[in-house]
Amino acid sequence: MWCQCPHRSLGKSGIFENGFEPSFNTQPPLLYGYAMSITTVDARRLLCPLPLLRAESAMKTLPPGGILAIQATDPGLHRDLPAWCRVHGHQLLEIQQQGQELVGLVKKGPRR
Amino acid sequence: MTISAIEQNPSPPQKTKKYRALGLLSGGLDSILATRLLLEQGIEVECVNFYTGFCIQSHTSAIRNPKEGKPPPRHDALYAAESLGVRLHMVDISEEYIQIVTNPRYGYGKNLNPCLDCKIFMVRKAWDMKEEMGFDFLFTGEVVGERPMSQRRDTMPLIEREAGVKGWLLRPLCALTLPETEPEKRGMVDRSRLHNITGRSRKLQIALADAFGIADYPTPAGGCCFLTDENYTRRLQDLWDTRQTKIYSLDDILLLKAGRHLRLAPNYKMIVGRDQSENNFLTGFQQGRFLLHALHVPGPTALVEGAPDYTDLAMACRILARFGKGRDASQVMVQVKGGEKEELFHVVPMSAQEFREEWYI
Repeated sequence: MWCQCPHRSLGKSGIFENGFEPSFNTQPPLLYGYAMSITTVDARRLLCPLPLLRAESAMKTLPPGGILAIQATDPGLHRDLPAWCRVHGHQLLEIQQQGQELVGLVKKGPRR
Repeated sequence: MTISAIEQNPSPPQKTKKYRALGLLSGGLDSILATRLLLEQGIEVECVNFYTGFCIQSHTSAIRNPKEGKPPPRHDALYAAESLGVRLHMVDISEEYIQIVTNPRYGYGKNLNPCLDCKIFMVRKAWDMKEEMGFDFLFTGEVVGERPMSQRRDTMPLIEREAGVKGWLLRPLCALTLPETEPEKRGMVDRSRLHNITGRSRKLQIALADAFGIADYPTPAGGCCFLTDENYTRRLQDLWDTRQTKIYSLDDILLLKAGRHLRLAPNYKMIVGRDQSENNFLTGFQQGRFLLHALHVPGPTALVEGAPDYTDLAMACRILARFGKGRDASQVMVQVKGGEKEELFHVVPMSAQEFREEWYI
């Protein structure tokens, strides 16, 4: 089951850049309505802090307001992603979970 | 500066020019205090946390089932930066770090910990960042005499010299026991407000934390690196010995952190999950390995890596059956997945008499 945050209606294609197709059993995650394009980082299997390191590298390529989706399986993302966003001035849109897999959606803050 | 003086006069002095310092932040108490001491002087501070691949984060415990009632795992440096209100640069140096681990100029400590080379490397990397980002000087939370290899009175100057930062690395917690640094000489830092802490006792640091109202910090433990851990380094050494070369991949060193490791023969080893979280974790690493799981009876998941033949896999299946609820059954069915192939083994669980304790790495 997805988390209980307000879901948006989904289409099927054009969700992620980089050819990523989420390996979930049911519908793809709730990414529509945020932006035309979303950059995705696949940090599944990696332990903390690698998902954040991957996110930090990817964030450097985005303009302010760009959206990053971080796929992970380390449950530490629930606690660390919000803290990382606060430290860097990014906006955490939501963290979705299905089974062992997590997707964190982050909007890049103003350049500092 | 005395701790009571901090309590009486906690406000930072007014400075005309704002100096900028870059600190190495592990998230432990020492680096938190060093950062706070400079913030108290009105210095603009940012920090860096290096990821070597061997960092012990509380998240590592997340590989196993979380303990009930315990808070979820967190990244110490990130939380320290947040509580201090400083920016944290998290930098992955794991690829370059292979050279440090496999060929340390100053050798290893008690285990496979190349502490001196590691600190030199990190300070040098931080110096490059300082130059690139326009900071005035570097600082660390090091304390003279606190660590047997990298924090000794004779090795601390060596680190500065080898890293090429002589005179520009400030250690605020023990600065008064060391020669004056350039930031102090040039008035960027008020030396009289630095400290003279030495030795392994943490009493003074804890008192300083109390004076600053810092209560949320990790419990001082045996270091922040798996390379100081005897069990972990035994597994790493086994990896090198059986490959007959000192090489490793990121997957290798992540897998060394999880499960029971059994060296069954030079050509293959087995990693058995100890709970559901570890089983899930191991499942994610099946590429290039064999994934074993018993069917119809509860039990662990295991990986076999190396170059096992059919007989070796059957042996691993028997051991897997021993670790599951079917250990007393006459036969257990084990599913073995390897690449695109999948095969079922019907095996007799290994008896206690057959199992050899020396297989454990």
